[in-house]
Amino acid sequence: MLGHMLSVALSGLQAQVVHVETHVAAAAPAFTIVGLPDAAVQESRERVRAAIVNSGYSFPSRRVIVNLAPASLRKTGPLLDLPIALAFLAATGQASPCGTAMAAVGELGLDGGVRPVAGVLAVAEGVRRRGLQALVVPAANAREAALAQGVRAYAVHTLRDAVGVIESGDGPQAEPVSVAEILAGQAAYEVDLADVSGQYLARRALEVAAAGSHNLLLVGPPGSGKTMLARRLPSIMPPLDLQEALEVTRVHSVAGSLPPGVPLVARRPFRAPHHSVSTPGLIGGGAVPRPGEVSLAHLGVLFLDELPEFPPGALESLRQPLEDGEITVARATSAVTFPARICLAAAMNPCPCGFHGDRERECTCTASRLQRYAARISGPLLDRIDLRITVGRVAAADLRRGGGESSAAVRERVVAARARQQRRLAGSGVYANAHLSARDTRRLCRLAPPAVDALDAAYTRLRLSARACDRVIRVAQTVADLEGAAVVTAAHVHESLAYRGAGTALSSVA
Amino acid sequence: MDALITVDRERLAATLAPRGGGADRRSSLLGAESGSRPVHSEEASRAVEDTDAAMWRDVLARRTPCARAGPPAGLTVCYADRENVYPEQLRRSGLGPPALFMLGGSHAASAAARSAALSTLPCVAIVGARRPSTYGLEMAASLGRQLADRGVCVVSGLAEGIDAAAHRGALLSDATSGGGHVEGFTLRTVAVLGTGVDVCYPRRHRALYERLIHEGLVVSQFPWGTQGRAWRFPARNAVMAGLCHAVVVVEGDERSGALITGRLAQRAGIPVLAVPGEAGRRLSCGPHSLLRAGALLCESAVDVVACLRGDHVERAGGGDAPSGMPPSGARLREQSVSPECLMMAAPSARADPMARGGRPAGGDQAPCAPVPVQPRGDGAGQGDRPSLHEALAALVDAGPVDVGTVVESLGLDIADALAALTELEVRGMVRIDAGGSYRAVRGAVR
Repeated sequence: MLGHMLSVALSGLQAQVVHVETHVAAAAPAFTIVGLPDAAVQESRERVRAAIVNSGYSFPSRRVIVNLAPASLRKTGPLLDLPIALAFLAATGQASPCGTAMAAVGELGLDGGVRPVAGVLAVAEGVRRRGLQALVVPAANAREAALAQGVRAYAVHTLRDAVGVIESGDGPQAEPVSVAEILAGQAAYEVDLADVSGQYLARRALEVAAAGSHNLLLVGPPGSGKTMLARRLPSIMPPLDLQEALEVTRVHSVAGSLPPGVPLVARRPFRAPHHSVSTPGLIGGGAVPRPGEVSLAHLGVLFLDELPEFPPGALESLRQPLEDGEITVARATSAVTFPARICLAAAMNPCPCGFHGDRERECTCTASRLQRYAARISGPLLDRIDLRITVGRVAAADLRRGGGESSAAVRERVVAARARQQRRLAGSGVYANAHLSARDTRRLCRLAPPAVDALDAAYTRLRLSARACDRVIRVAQTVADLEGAAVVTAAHVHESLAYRGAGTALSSVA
Repeated sequence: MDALITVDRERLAATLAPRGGGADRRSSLLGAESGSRPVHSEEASRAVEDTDAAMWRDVLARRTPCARAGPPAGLTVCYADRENVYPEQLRRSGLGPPALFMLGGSHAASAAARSAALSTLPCVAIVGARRPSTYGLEMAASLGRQLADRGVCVVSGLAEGIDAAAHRGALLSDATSGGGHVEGFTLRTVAVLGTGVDVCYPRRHRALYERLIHEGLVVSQFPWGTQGRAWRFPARNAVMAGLCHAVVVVEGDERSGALITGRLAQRAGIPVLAVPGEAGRRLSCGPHSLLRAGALLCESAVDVVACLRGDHVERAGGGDAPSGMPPSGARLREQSVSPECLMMAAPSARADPMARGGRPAGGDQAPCAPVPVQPRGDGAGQGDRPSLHEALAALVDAGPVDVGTVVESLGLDIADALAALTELEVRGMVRIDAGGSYRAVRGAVR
């Protein structure tokens, strides 16, 4: 006898409909799954058998073959447990056959309970794209599935419930979720820029970075607050809108890193991998491609502390995401693309001992050691970092006095600057100044004549490279946007020259 | 180009007995510093005294590998006992090696002409720490440039830190006339190496080394191909001091080679000047101990020139140094260099090549009150710019400041503060040091 159930398999963020067919034959008892199942899917056999028995159904000693079609697509993850069980029950006549209008996903516990799985949002969206009306999901994933409007999501706790839903065609549905409400409710960040004392230059640089989506490098001795500052960058970036929130949630859902009970990620992510991270961990990959840190930081901030300590290969692999806003992980069988539009924040010490340039303590590094340290950041990566500043230690007076402007106040200005940018950049294919190509920079950034003179003078006197000039123009345009100026003036150019990293050990490197 | 001269120090040390003369002087001066480690040019000079020069060359030619390789192109050698191109002051100081190898002159003037310039130019050595502070680097660079502007030849050792800054500062000068003017070429800087003239040490300074060969002169007492070894550098320092009419020590801690050079020069009767530093800092120990021992205070090239001319040092607006107490070591040495070849009696008498129309040539006196700045025609209500820049310049003059201090002291918005500071930086009035503080540029043309 044949049983059939629809389900979904995920390849990266893409959901593909899978037909689960079960054939029960009178032959020597066996339970086989075919259709390129991975280890977790193979283990389904044990879970399914125990769940069926413990739910009160019978598991006859027959030969059972389960086929997961299409046969050439790799099936991964435990989410196929539930449809396999349902197809089996249909095949043995213990449940009514389900039509082709409903799909099911879920992991089964040995007791017959249905457990949550990762990637339900992507699954639900895939189901909707295929024109299916209904999806049976674990109860814990119900709210997530409800985010994909247009699909009826039935929440089930046990295998019996799932059978009930199939037979009756109806059941407890997840409540419709108002994304706007969640966004409004969860938008508050735990950290605030008001916690930071002093550090005027760094605060301003954060503001400019957030406004133009520029990448930022903080150079300073240990304990100068670089990590603290970077953590506050997401809090001054514009709030996520609906589409962006869904994008972020999708990635986190597939990676399995959605916090329990939270269906939607409403805050910009902040990811800070340790420098021992591997290249696949950073950009994504593995035998079954999973999103890396760079994708988990999509639309948020990726913070690389101790930048020179990262493996050079890992840093090099960041170039594609920094340039294209996405990362393609290619495998022998397929190529999977994850989104990766991030704002990169990096921190480093000024030298191996950490005290180069410190007023109190003396640096014990030789010139060649300094040079070797600076050379660990490759030129092409440094090129993509528009803002490089020195973060000094906070004076005692500042520490006592306490913080300055709050994140909310800065965020207002950033939002206004972004709006101006979007108006000016409409039609150019980018949404922020930092992503302008060299040609577009010249075309779209308008400099007043005094600003052009100022830039020329700086080019000669301060010995800028051509690339550095482009960076200065982009940052100056962002500064002008923050001020609401129609054109870039000399003052804007001068301010943005202050962010070129002159006082750091990197100043000798482009 | 010239005959081979090679030295095999180990063999010679074993076979030749010490004699009097320059070797003794050098070794006695050096021995006080570096112990009794033999210096191979000592052996060479002993050899000169002992044997006929031709036989000496022959003996040595058999012993050293580099003799077989042959000298590099453009190498000149001058011998202490013969040709006129051997620098006079070096000969008279008694610190000179028997042979001086020189390399340089692929453009404008031949090496021979350049080495002849060494005898007619006033030469000043600038030495200091290998890991100086930003202040030390700035002082070395500005001294190098100012001295070269005045026709003085800047001598240093191509080492990291102060030496390289002094060379680069001198090369920045575009002096086109003066005592060093020979065949249309001005010798602005000379490097005295602790290695052979064809060896560039440290390797990082390759570009600077090439420039020195092209536009200056590279000399050494060691044969070509000699590598750098620790014991050769004190010997090099002795020759460097002997070549010069004054030695300026910029920065150095108590164990630095620059301090050794300074003391050596003092004992040899060569005037020594020292640039003071912040009291209590490690890098100020060297110059300050030299000052205590009677070296002259050096704040700018004015002091160096005054020393070379035998004047007491006069401050702008200040009085003479206390009479009846000439600093020991300030005795001006009678030599082939006449004071007149030190151009310009006072800095203002010479048109500063950097002055453009309308800007006052403040020269290189100690920075005093800032000169009012012309407003930039930037439009947009910038009428109060001059006073902002004045206030900013005054603040920076008082000492290095970071942006936070500027914002708080002047009550500025951070964006305005950054823009104003960068404007000053573009004009060359301030610079950013390591650590992100802004400091006034010494000797800036305001």
